[in-house]
Amino acid sequence: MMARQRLHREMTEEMQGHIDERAEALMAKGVPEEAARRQAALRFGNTSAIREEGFASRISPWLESIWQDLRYAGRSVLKSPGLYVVSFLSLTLTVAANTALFSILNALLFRPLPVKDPETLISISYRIPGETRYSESASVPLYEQLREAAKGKAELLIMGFPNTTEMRTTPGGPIEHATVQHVSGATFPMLGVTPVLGRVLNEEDDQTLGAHPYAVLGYDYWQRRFGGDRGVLGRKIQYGETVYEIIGVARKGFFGTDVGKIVDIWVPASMYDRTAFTSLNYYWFRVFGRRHQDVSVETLTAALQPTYSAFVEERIKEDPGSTPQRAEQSRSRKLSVDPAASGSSGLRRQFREPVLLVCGVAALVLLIACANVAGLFLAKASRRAREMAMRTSLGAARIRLLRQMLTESALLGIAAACAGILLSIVLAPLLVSMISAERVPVRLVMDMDWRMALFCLGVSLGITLLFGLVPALQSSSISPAQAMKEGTAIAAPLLTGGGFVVIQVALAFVLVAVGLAFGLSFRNLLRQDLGFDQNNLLLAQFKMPSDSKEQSTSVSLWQPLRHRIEGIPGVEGVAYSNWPVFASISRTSRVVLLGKEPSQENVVILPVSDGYFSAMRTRLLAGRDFTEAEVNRATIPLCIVNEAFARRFLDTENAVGLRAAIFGEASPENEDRPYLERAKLPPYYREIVGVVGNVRYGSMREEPRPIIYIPAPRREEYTFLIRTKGTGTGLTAQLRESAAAVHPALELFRLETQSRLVDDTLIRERLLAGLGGAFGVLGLLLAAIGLYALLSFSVATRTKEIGVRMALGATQGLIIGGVWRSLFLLVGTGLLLGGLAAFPLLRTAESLLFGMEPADPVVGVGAALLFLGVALIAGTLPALHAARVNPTVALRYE
Amino acid sequence: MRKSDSLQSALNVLVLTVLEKRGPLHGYAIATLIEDLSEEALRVEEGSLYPALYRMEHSDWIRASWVTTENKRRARVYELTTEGTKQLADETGRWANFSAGVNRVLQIA
Repeated sequence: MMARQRLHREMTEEMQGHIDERAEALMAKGVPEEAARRQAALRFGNTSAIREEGFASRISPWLESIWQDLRYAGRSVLKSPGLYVVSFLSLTLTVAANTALFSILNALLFRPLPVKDPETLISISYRIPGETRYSESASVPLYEQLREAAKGKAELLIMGFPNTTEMRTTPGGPIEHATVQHVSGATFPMLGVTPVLGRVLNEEDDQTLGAHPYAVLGYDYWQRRFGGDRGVLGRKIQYGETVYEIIGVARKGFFGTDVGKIVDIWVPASMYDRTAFTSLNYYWFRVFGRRHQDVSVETLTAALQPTYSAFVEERIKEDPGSTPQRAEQSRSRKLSVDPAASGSSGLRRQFREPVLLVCGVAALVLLIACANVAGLFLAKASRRAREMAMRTSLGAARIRLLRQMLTESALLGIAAACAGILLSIVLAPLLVSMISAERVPVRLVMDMDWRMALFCLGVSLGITLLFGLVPALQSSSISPAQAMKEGTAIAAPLLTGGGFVVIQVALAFVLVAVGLAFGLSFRNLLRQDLGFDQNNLLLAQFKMPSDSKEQSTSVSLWQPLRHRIEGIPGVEGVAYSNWPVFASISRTSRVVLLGKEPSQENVVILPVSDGYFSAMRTRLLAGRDFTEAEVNRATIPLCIVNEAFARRFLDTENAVGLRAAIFGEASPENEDRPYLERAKLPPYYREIVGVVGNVRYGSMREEPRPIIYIPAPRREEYTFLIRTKGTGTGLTAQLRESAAAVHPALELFRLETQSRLVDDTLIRERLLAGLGGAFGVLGLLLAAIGLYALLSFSVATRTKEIGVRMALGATQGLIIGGVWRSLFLLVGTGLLLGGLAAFPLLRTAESLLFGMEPADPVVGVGAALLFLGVALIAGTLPALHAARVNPTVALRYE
Repeated sequence: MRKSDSLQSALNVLVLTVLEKRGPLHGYAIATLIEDLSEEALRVEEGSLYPALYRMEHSDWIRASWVTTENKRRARVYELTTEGTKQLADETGRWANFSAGVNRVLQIA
């Protein structure tokens, strides 16, 4: 502003000099001094007008007027703080939601791996064309053939799936949890990942099976667990039965190649179970690699396909249970080389659709918020119509007014965007925790990158233009003559405002419909009969070290532990099984019923102890449970099947007493022979002693699967199902004591609840229902505010008209009816448009719904009713206000 | 050429020409010189002159400095820049065209 003052002084002096000189010239011609001065000044004219022009051309005009605009904007905020607070809050919230979701989307889908040349990285999957589900798992023999076939075109290596699991940072010490991944040693050189401490794995570590017990720590884990202690080098840790030596820490930022997981510990693939390296059936890792620069993904796919097909043929030939259908299915599966610049991710596969959907929904809310704020600003602007008109007639350029109003919007837009972005930093991890399961925790790297920066910039500019431009254009276009005529100037903003409200209602209807649909789907899923009682059921996994195999297979271990736990106060029932349901673990096989065709489809096989069904609270429909004595015997040819099994294989016949064999299961004396040999032996028939009710095995979505329960064999670990009176928290110490009392080496390995496992399978649905519902409510609220604001505004501007009508005898009811008519016109139009948009949208998300049609009438009618209710509430106040207009007061100003 | 453009352009040509021929001058001198040279046919309005000067200064056609005149008065004098000399050639050409056009019309009509 100093420049402006200096300029002012200079110009004044210059012009005064000019006037003085002319006056002197006149005086020289004989004009008296006073007259000369007056004449000179008169001739010069308006000095301040010239000064203004001087400012305009000599100071950078933008800078100057922006400062002025900002001052106007500040004054405007002070004048109507309520408007700004409401607008700021709704924009901030919606920007925060959008930014948080985008940062997840970015981390999940777009962000390239922080490694060397990510664009040439590839991973290999096996897909049936036309199906969205695919597999990445491969066996070592397949990998070796593929690697051979890819020579000269790509370097391949093997990589296990990161597994969050129990391990010990001191051999034999207490159990901790960490995410461990088996990788080829060559992984680190290929990805260009260097150590910050010690060394990373390399090709040397791929040499000999079982001979490289070395571990590399992730940087985060090193910091988190060991406080960045450089002394960890050489420290021993235990994972499974193997003791590893820590040889190094990978550089900061490298989290592995699985988006959604941050690997804590890498160990060499060569340390994996030996049988995995020879078995054709051990599908425990994926093939990852780097293609040569000049070889395209398509070329590589074509080059590897014959190798894969040959491998599949080989397997079909050797499959003892092969049938034409199964062979056909195997053949239809094709190898696919996929670009892996942003890593590969089961999380991405699972959440791509829902996260995109939620992002879309959030974007809608943002649009609504913008339309809402635009409507509010429009109302405010038309109150200032006269001011604008006055300024236009005094010569203000339209662009100048436009800019001033846009500055106000930009101020609000940028402030809200900044607040929203800050808020999203807190919100994003919260959302991530919503998609994180107990057994599969999700950890995403969501640091700022250029995509995030671009998004934030785009959002702040976008919302500013969205809510700022229309009101600004509208009010700056009012012609002075129009505005001076009371009332007429309001018509245009009202129409535009109506348009905004219609848009808001339409978008909000879409949100409410989507939220309602996902809410109902989720409720439908929760209402599914589990077939067991998931509440108050603790799952305790006990384990014996494998070097005490003899004890673990002895009778004096598991049943005594069971009885001891039964004795703990608050425990109502105890049983054990190989693994719990809803834990993503399943053993399946085809089944042969004596005298019938073998089943085509696989049946779930679950080894359980006696008392399993009463602990689970699963109904026994026919026959009986196993007895303790039966389970204690090493082998016993009995089984129990469920209702789905009986219905699938037996029509109406009573299953009890029939005999069933599990394909490939041999009699106990042949148990140690290899699978392929066993499969050729005569089947080992088990008598069905009972039929139990159906239970959901791994998902609420699928129909109950046929299950065959067999008596639990002897093994080193079991999951105990503990039915408790309350939630059973605080039993940990007593469970440990019980284990120690039975055998000193027996260890409580994992403790979780059945309901948590069930919950974790509903993450997607809960996410959609929760966020969908929240956004639906937000949308509804915003639409209600918009509606209310528009109606109040319209009533306020029509006070005189209403006064006239009341003076002419209109009743209050008539006036209220009039307000409501315009309300329902707006809402009706909005609902119609929203309905047209909502159902096609829901159809695209059909696979995420459950127990309902995309065009479910409950959703449509429910959402519409909800809306009408909210509209009524939003419209009542303005309507009452209109009805209370006092004609004499309203007309006094006419 | 719009009306205001042509008048603006005329004033620019006059000011630049005077500055080129008579060297650094202050606003009053420019105005009186133009009036004298045109034998009072052209009267320069101060309300147009100063904005024109400021605009040309902003466009770097002319530059200004403060000096003290012979009658001991501080005055802001303007002189031509190289850019201004170029502009003068342009504008003179344009003005010649325009006035020739006007003359032709006047003679024919």
